[in-house]
Amino acid sequence: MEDATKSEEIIDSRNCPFELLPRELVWSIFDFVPETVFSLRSVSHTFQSLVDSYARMRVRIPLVDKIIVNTATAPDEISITIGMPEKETNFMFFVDQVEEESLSKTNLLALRLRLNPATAHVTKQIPFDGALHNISQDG
Amino acid sequence: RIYPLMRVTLTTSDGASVTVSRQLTKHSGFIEKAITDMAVDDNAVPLSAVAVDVDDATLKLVIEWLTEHRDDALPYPEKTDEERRADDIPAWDQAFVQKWDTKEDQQQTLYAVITAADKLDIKGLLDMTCKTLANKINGKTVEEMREILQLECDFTEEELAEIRKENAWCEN
Repeated sequence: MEDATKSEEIIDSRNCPFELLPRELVWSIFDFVPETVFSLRSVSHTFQSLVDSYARMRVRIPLVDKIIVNTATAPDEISITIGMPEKETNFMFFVDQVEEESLSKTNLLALRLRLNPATAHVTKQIPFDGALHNISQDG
Repeated sequence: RIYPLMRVTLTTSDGASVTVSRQLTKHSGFIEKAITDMAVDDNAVPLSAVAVDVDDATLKLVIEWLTEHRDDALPYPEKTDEERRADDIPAWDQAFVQKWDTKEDQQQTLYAVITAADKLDIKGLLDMTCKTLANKINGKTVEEMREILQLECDFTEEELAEIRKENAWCEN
């Protein structure tokens, strides 16, 4: 884990009590509302820094609970069952629908991709048109 | 092993003394460690006072919460990422917070209780108060968030435009 996760570290601030909380606590609060990351990073310089460091720090962003691939239904058919976390009841698997819904942890995942230099090499596939779309920092 | 009838005196940061049952303090990792460090045995009562870096008013609220939750299971169950949700605060806890989390208070007490729960290592109280704060932010506009968080916008127009561009990249 990064040095920045040390509980002793606090953010320099004079006015906002939230910013005076230990960084670990701030991140645990963000854990409850990952869908707010875009708004939160627009609040102030300090919040932008907090959210961005949170997005970079998060090692694991769970979007689905389980994926079951079943080939036993018919010889020429594959059945895929996707189990969603309870909170994301409206979560849709297709990338373009996820974005329309703009729900919960998908925002955090998108932000993490945006902040990660490695995203220059990431592609995403929109199932409906089958096209591959490059995700680049300049996009 | 916990001795429920044992009483512990806590001295607050503003000089007050509060004596509470060990049945309550067992939920505080900080106080339990302090007692363990004293190396007391079954009969070693009264204990020396334990100094806590929490003021008297906040400690009273912490003790009120501990009293209600004295029978909660220990250790406090760790939640996985998938299990973390903010909409499951028990009714008693919600009413407890509403008593003092008023508009006039501007969340000063809530921040004080969060900080106290963190310092005293009371995981259940910390979890509940963090959820409460998260719920205040959730679903709000940026302007509303600034009001809740008591912050002024310190971005220039150019910086805001850049952030909007970055956010749009994530959303499109």
